[in-house]
Amino acid sequence: MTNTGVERRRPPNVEFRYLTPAGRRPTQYEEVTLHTQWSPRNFAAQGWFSPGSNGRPMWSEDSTRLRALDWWAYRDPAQLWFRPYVELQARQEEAIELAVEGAKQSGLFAEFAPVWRRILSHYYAAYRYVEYGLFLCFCYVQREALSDVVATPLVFEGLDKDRHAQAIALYCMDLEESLPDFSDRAAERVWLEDPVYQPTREYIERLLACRDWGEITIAVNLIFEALAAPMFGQEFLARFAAHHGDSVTPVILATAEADRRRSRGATVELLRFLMREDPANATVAQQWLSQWTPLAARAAHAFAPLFEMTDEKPVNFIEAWQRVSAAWAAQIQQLGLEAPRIEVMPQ
Amino acid sequence: MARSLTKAYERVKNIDWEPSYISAADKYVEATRFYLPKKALDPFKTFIREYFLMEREKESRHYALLEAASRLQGSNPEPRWMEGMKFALSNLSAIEYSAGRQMGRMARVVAPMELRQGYMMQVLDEMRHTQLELNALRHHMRSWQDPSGYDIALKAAGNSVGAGIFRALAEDFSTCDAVETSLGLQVLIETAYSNIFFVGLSSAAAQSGDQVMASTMLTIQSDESRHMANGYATLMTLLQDDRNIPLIQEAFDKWSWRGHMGFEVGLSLFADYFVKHKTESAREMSQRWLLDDFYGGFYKKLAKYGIKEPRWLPDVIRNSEWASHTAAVYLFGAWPVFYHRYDPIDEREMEWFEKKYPGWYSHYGKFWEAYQQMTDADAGMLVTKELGGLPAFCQVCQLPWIFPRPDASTGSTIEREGRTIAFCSPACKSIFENDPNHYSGFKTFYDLYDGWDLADVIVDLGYVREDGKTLMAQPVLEPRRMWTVDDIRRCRYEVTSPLRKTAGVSAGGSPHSAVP
Repeated sequence: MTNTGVERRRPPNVEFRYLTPAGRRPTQYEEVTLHTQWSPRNFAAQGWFSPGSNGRPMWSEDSTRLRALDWWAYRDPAQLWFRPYVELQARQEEAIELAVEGAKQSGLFAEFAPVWRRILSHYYAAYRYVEYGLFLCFCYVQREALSDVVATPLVFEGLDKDRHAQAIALYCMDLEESLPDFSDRAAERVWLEDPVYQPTREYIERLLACRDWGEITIAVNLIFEALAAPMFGQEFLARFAAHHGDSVTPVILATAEADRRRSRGATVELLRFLMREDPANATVAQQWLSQWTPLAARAAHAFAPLFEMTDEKPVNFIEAWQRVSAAWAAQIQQLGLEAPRIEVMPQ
Repeated sequence: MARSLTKAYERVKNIDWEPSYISAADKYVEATRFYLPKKALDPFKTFIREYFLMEREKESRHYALLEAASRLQGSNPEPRWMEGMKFALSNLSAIEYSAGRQMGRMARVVAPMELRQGYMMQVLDEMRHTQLELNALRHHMRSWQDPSGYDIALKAAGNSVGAGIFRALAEDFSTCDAVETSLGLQVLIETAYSNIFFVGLSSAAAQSGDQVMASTMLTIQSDESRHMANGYATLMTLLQDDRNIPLIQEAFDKWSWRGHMGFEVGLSLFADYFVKHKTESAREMSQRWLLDDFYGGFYKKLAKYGIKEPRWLPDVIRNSEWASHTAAVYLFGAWPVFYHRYDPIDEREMEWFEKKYPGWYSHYGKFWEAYQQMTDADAGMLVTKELGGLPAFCQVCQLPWIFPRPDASTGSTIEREGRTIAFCSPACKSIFENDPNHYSGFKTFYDLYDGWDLADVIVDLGYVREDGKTLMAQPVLEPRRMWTVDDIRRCRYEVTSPLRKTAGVSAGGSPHSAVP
């Protein structure tokens, strides 16, 4: 080609000039994520064109008490963008399908102890409401988050929660197919009325009423998912399953747990980043910790009766709680924050 | 999966509950002025599991092509097209991004579960599309002979005056009523323009030798039916309640016009002016896909519910006749404030235009003759200046007030709160007057640059190459010598608001004074 005024060349080192990579060279994640969200704070010099009826622009600094000089300086430690995310989730869903299909073919579901069937049909089936409620929370959080790099892991987290909710519903249908007396009909009542779930439901509903996306993110990933969710999913279900002939549920739980770990990592990094941006964010996060931790601890303790429902008890509630709450406190302290002291409430 | 899909889907979506620790209003975040029945039409039945498996497959196929294209570098795309993509791709990705972020808001405000699931898949789809487009852009930046302009893509999408057209549209559908978002975005934009956009643009890309863009558009199109289904399901759900009819009509009146100005005008410019080997004109595509298929088919079927033709549709039709050419007068006339090279049309193309748009030469011929005389940096003539300066921009759609045709503009101004505000058309003026606060508060191009030397504007925008003085934009693909900031400075063109020039003289100036 000669008609273009420049010599034909292949510029392998050309980079986007508007982004500052975290490392020496920008990653593909940075290139396809950074500055897709505009703001007068990056390049939109004309300002916001269309405020809503509430007078707020499309993205508004008052959507959270957290403050940052540059919201685009954050990086998701997992560096996820659409393609790797979809690959990751397709692999996880295939793992679930394989486990379920294998169990069906080998008749493994028949090995599930009767008490365990009841636990799955009542309590695990009801957990999809938790995941669904969190999904709704993240619908809001991802809309409001103040930059693309901050929002992207939150978009994925919303979809993770939707995936978990659906995985539970589909699994229950698989169990119904294989076990004639199995039904998840009671799950909604358990969610709405069973004391095991009421503090969790209160937590989720309070999150739904919260309008600070930063607060929701921290109250979910650094508090609920670190303190209450593991008591049910990891300490109770996953540890008790094998003792009741169940090798399938732990596979589903492991995928959900992997998602949770990833989201927690993103939020830990978000908070570290924000405390570097503005030390006042530590005070805000500390206030949220004081506010939400007692509720999460109450939700965790409400799961205690589950640990007493079976004859086989691979772990008791107190041990499990000590392990989970100690790991949680260590993580909060690593962030330079204070883990609120948890009063163990009488059941 | 052996299980019944319908049964499984019912189970999966039967999950909503009425809260008791908080109020229902708290759960839905915002109110909508529309009336939403409890039960909605189901747009489609896809589990998230199937979504992941299906999208992974689509991604693999597309990225295999992209990777092969990067390795082989065998194609010889049309320079005109590749330069135009600097403007197109940078702006597209931002619209897709904002559309995705809206879906979560809609999922919270719109109660029926059936719709909520569909919206959430669209969240991911839109992220997919944003990143497909940025990967195409990234590929182009690293394979095209002149990366300049690609390398500032999303900065330019933020600060270019032309980019305001797309951001204003996206902000409008992001901050209006959340149900209106569905009617505007999913019905009047995604359904109405899907074919023109994805089919038309992908075949234009293929004709221009840009296989990466052709594949990008086609793989995006494969998700679009989901978005149309979302819009259709929302609409059919709303139509169950007669109180919604006037509200739907109002939304369609507005978005039929907003979609046209904010989206179709840009598309038509691309189809007519960035494709060297022309086949179908933008107007023919608009006739076939927009007027015959969408308004003549899809939309017409709504008549039985009492939905009338959109209020401004006759103006859309009239505007479509000249939209691409008028947009070209703007984009080419104002070339120094953009960030790509231009390829002015040649004799053969002029004939094609006259054939496809009878009367074209009498309205636009002079502009092109003037343009062609002013491409040499040494001559120091700036088409922008010689033809009367930059125009005023519409308060609503951000296009210049020279539509439908510079010599027959429908532009006007009003005085509001001590400011003169310009409109491109009675439609945009009426949309503004219905909700003035929704279209106020930003800085116009002239609020930023009135009284500046054009050279300083270009430097401020950052549209210069790495040597700090050569312009990114060039009025021809192969200038004898590239224009620099100094060339522009020698032209002595002070950016002057057309509204300031005539303020106090008449109602704030006339669009005719600013164009040939």
